[in-house]
Amino acid sequence: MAIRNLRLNNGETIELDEWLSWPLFSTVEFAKASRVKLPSFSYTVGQPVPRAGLAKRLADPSDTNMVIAKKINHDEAFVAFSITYEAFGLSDDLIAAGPAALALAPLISANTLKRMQAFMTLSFKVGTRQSKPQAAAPLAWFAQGAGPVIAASSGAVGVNANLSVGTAGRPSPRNQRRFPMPIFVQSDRKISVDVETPRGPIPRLGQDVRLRLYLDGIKRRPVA
Amino acid sequence: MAQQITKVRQPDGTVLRLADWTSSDPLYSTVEVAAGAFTVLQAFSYGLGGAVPGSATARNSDRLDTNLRGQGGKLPEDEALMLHGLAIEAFTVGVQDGGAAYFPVDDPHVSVLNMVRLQRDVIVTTRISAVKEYTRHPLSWFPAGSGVTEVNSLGLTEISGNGFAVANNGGDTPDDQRNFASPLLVQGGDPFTVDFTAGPGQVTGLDFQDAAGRIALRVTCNGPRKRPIA
Repeated sequence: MAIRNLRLNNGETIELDEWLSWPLFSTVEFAKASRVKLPSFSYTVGQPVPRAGLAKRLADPSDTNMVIAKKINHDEAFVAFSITYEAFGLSDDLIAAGPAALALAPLISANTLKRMQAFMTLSFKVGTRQSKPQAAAPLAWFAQGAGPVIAASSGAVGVNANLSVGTAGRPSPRNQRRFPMPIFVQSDRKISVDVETPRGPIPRLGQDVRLRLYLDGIKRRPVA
Repeated sequence: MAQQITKVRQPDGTVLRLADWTSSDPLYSTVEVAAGAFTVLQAFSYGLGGAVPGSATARNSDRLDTNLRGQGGKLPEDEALMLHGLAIEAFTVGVQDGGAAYFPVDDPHVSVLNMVRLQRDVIVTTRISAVKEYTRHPLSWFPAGSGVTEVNSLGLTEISGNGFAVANNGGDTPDDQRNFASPLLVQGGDPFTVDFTAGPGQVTGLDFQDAAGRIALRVTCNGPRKRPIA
């Protein structure tokens, strides 16, 4: 049996916990012509992925690693250092004037990402009915810590398929914008990262998008 | 005959065992992902000479695949590992990959489409002592930290003479590797695997020119490792 607490000579009891590097991740999806107001970290595997303008889909393990919906489990706690994300195309980005594609799904075109950065916001909220976010900014503020580093020849890369892809900075852990002060989330506390487009649908967005958000940090879990 | 000193007995009777810690001989293991459904591919489940999980012909591993000694599935009894992070490289096995949408790329490069499909769907689960999970995160969370920084001017593929678009699993320098916020200790004899699964049950859309085509994923443990001194 594991030792879970230590009683000191002075009567004090020290509870033992395991803290480990355990970023949380969660996915939302939206159609190109949809207004977005979606709560990530609001579901577990097997529950519906929050979607705007798209048919219902149940989450699989590549969508989230949350063990309970909308909150930190009662026997866990979390310290967040950073928010980062990856975007995947759910449809191709086509050139308006012809059949050629700028980016074939699951790639995200540079246009799509730039428009998301310009018209989308993220708000990280902790606690029930909290209107004050712990972190909030336009998407452009949060750089990309995971993703492909892409290289292409200067010539055509396919028949009827051009290439224009983008990432939010060169994907690297060093590229993540870290919170100057880490954000502590106590056990059983509600969390959400709200993904919104305050002005309505993103103008001229060319693709339906999957956005996988990460709360990078450490998690406390029971030792036994 | 000279003999290596492996332990020192102190005057009070305690015994100090000498060990050789190094971070210049990192532990690594490879699995291969094919198009179509799979359940789990376990890196470190086999030792040097054992079959590479997912390979087309269940080929026996060599030193490019792994340097794990023993039968696999656990760290050798006389070793230990401080795991600071995982670095995962990707290579195409087979002649070329991709081709339906963009032109095929020369192996062992990975086409940009295949790489993003892998990053989207593959989940990496680290198990120590077979009880708890120590990671359960997408492939993209563990950048390779190695690769090619490319400069191209009218670059063409060797085989088809076409343009190309390739991608790396994250950045290609050691500075791009991701370290855990707190390192993990794997003791000698502890069961230890890094499991690759696909969230949807397969890597959707993974595309090869060659029916036996695969993507080899080689995972390297970043951090000091204790080895026997003799």
